[in-house]
Amino acid sequence: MKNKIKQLIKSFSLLELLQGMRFTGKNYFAKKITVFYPEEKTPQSNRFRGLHALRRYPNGEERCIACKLCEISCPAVAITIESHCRDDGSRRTSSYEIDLFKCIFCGICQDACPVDAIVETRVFEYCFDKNEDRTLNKAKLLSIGDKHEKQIAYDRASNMTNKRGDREF
Amino acid sequence: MITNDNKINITINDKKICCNVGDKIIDVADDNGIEIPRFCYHKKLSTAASCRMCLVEIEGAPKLMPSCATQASDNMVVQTKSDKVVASQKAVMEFLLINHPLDCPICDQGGECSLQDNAFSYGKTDSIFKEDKLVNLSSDIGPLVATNFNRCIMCTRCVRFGEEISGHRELGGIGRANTIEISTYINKNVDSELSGNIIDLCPVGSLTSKPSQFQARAWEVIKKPAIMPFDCLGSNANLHIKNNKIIRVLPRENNDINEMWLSDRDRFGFLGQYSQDRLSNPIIKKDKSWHNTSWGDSLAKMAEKLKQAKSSNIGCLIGGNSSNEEIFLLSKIIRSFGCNNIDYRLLQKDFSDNTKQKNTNWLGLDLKQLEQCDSVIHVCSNLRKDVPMLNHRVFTAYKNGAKISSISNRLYDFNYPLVEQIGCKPSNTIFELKAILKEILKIKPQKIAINLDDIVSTKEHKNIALQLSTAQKSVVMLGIQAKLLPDYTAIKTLCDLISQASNSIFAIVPEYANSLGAKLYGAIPYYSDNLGKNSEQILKSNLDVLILYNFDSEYDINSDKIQKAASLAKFVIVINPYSSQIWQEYADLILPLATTFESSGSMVNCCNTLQKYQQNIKPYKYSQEGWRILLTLADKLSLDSFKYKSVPEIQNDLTDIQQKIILNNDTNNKDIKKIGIKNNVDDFEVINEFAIYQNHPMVRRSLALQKTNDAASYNKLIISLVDAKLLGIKRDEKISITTNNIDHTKIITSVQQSDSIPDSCIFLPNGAKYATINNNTTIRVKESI
Ligand code: SF4
Ligand code: SF4
Ligand code: SF4
Ligand code: FES
Repeated sequence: MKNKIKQLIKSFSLLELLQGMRFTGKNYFAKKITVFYPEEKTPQSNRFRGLHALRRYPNGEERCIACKLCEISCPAVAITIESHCRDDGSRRTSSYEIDLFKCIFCGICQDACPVDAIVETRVFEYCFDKNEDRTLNKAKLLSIGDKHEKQIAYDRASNMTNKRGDREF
Repeated sequence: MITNDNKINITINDKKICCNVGDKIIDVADDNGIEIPRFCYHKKLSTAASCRMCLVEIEGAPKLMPSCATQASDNMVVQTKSDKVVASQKAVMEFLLINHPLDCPICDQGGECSLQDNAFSYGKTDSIFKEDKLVNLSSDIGPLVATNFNRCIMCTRCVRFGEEISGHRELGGIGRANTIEISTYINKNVDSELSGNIIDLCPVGSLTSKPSQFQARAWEVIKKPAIMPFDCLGSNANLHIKNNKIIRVLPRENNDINEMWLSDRDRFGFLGQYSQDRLSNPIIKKDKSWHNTSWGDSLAKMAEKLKQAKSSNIGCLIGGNSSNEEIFLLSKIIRSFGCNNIDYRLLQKDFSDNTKQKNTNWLGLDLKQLEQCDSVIHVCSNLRKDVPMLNHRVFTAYKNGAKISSISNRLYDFNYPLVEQIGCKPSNTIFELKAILKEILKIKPQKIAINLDDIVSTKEHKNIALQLSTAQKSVVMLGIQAKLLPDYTAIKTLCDLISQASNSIFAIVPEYANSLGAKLYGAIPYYSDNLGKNSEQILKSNLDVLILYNFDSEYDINSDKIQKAASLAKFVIVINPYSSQIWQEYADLILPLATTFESSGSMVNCCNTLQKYQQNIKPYKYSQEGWRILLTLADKLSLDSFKYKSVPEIQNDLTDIQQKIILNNDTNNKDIKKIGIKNNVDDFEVINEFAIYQNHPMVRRSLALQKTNDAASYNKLIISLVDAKLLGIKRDEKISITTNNIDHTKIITSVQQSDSIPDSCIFLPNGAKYATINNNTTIRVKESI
C-alpha cells in the first residue's frame, strides 16, 4: 500500500522525465566533442599507421635493398617482392607490391625494415574504384613516399627523440 | 674399458656414448644429436682447427679443446655446455664479428648463414669493439662465384677444397694475422670445373652464387629432388624453386654417386632452361610458312604420315639425354611398323661393332671400387672435363697412391700428375695401343690373336705396361672422346685386349646422360634380330618420315649432314625443347618438348643404377612431357600394346628389361681393322671433341657457363706451334679450311696455337660457326669418312 502511493506520486510529478531532461539540458550546453569530418579532423599520432610508402634518400636513391624482411614478417602475407641485381651491382627490388585488402595495418613491415624504406604514412583517406587498384606497386609506393617525405621524415625524427611518441590528445 | 671391435665409451653432457677409436668428438656429437657450433670443420675436408668455435671442456685437460681436432678416447668426459665453454663461445663470436660488416640484409647467405645462426644461439648481444673495421676488397673470380671478402671469417674451407677435392689450388690465404685475405694470388678466374662447391662450403656470404645473385631468399624456395641430366653420372641434386622457376641447384648427398659435391655443369646448367629459343607451341609448315596448330591435330598428322610411309623408309634419331620412358616408347612405336631404323649415336663415326651385339657398355665397376684401384689408364679421355665427378674419384684413387697415365689425341690437363702422357694423331692411336699391348705381352707372355711384329714400342709404352701389370687392381678407361674417332671399334677392341692381358677392369665411359638407357630400351638399330639403319645410314638415306627427337641441329650432330638428310626426307618431324634455324628451315612439323626438369622419368647412369625423378616444374607454355606425347601418338596410331597411363606403369616394364640384360664390355669381334683415314702427308687430321660446356642442349644455353674460360677456349681452332710456324699462321688469324666430304669452304674466327696438339692435326670445334670468306691461307683437312 505504502509503495503504491509512492509510485503514484512519482509518476504524476514526472520526476523521471525531469531527470532525463536535466541530463539532456546539461549536455545541450556543454562543449561538444563531435568532429565534423571531413571539415574537421581528429589529431593524429606520429606513429599513425595509414597508407604505405617507400622512401628515398635525399640524393634520390631508393632506400629499399630488397632484403625481404618486411615480406617474411608480414602476418597477413600482403607483401610480394621480386629482387634482382641492378646493373650497378646493387641489390634492388624488381617489383614490390602490397595488397591493401590483405594488409591489416599492423606496422610490422616498417618495424622489420633495416633501412626505414617501407613506412606507413598518415594518409588514410583513399578509395579504389577498380579492383586492380588495391595493390600498391613500387612506382605508386615511391610516389606516395615522395609526396609525403617531409611529414614522414618529421614523424620518424620525433619518434626517435620521444620513444613513446608525443601523442597530441 | 675397451670393449670389442675397437669400441670405446665416452660421456658427452652426461650422456654415455659408444663410439669407434679415432672418432673425432665433433663427429660423435653430431651422430648423437648433440650440437657443437663450428665454422672451419667440414667432414669431407681436412681439419684446420682454426676458428675455435667448437671448443669443449674435457675433464682432466687444462684448457678447452677443439672438438674437431680431438679424438675421443676411452672414458673421456666431455662438456659442451659448461660455463667455461659458453664464455669461450661468446668470446669467439665477439672476436669473429669484430671485422664482420652489418651486411645481412643485402647478403645472399642471410637465412642460411652459420655466422648468423651461431651469433644468435651462442653470441653476445653487444661488443666492446669501437675501432674501425677492416675492409677487404672483393675480386672478380669469374662468372660463377660472387665474392665479398669483407664477410670472410678465414675458415679456409675454400682453400682446403681447392687443395684436397678439386686438386687445383686456386684460392689461398695471403698475409698474416689481421691482414690475411682470401685471394686468387693475381686477379684471375677460378677455372676449376668444380668451383661451384665453394659456394656451399663457405659458411658465410663471402662466396655466393653469381647467376642466382639476389634472386631469392633461402626461406622462399621449395626444395625438390632431381637427377642431373648433364653427364653419365646422374648426380643427385635439389632444385630450389620459387614460383615455378628454378633459382639454384644444390647437391643432395649420395655417397654412391656424387658424395656431397656437384660439378659446375650440374650446378649451373639449368640456366639454359630459360633460354629465349624455347619452343612454345606445336607448329606445322604449310606452303613454306609456319602455323600454330593443336597437339591433337599435329599428332594425328604425324600418325597419318607414319602410316603412309614404307616401313623401311622411316628413320628416327634420338638424343642420348632423353629419359628411359621416352626411349622405350619411341622405339616401341617405331618397331611396331617393323622398322629398326633408330639410333642415339649421333656423332659416332664407326659402327662396325654393330653386329647383333647384345652387350651394353658401362663403367664396369662402381665408384667406390674405382677409388680403391691403384692404376688407371685413360684412353682418349679428357675425364676431368668430360665427367668431372667421375674424375674426382680417380683423383681420390691418386691420393690413395694410384698411378695414372693417359693416351689421347690432345694433351689434356689433369689435376693429378701422370706417369706417362702420350699424345698422338687420331690415326696413330691404334699403334700406340698395340705398342702397349706388345709391352704387356713381354711382361706377361700369353697368346693373343693379333700380329704385333711390326709394332715399335718405346719407353713410354713400357712404363704404361709396367704400371698396368704390376698393379693389384687396374682399370683401362676408354673415354668419351674415342666415340668420335673413325677407328672407335678397333680402339675399343685393343683396350679390351690390353685389359685382358694385364688382368685389368675395362671401363667404358658413356658419352650421354642416358647412353645405357638408350641401349637397354631400344634406341639402337641392332636391338631386335633384324638389323636396322644406324645414324650414319639414316642420315644418308632417302626417307619418307624422319623423326628427330630431343637434340640440337648443331653440336649434337653434324649440322651439314642433318641439313642434307632433312632436305632429302619427305616429312621431317622435330620434337625438341629448343628451336633452331635448321629446324625452322627443314622440318615440316615441330613439337615442343618439356625438358628433363619439367618431366617425370628415369635414367640409367654409367654404373647401371636406375634413377627415377619427378616432374619438378610445369612445362614451358604448351610444351608437353615426352612420355605423354608418345602415348598420345600411340593412341592416334591405334597401337594396342600401349596400355600405360602413368610413368610408374611404364617403369614397371623398364625394370624387368633392365634385369634381363647382362652388362659387359667384351668385344665380340676381335679382328682389328683400321678403317680410319690413311696417313697422307699433305692432309691435316681433324680432332673433334665432346666439350665440357657443349655436351647438352641446356648447358649450351646456360649463359653463365658459356662465359667461363673452359667454354671460351673451346670456340677456337687449334693447331700445333710447329704447324703454325710452317704455315705462317698468326694467333687469332682467320683461315679457311677445305674438307674432303663437305663441299664448301669453312672459316673459323680465330686460331690458337698450342703444344697440346700433335703435328699435322687441327682441333676443329664441333658445330662451331662457319662463314665463307676468301683467304689465302688454306688448310686441307681430311675428315673421317
Ligand atoms: S622495404 Fe625494407 S624490409 Fe622490405 S625489402 Fe625493402 S629494405 Fe627490406
Ligand atoms: S655472412 Fe651471414 S652474418 Fe655475415 S652479412 Fe651475410 S648473412 Fe649476415
Ligand atoms: S671465403 Fe668463405 S670459405 Fe673461404 S675462408 Fe672465407 S669464410 Fe671460409
Ligand atoms: S670447427 Fe673446430 S676449430 Fe673450427
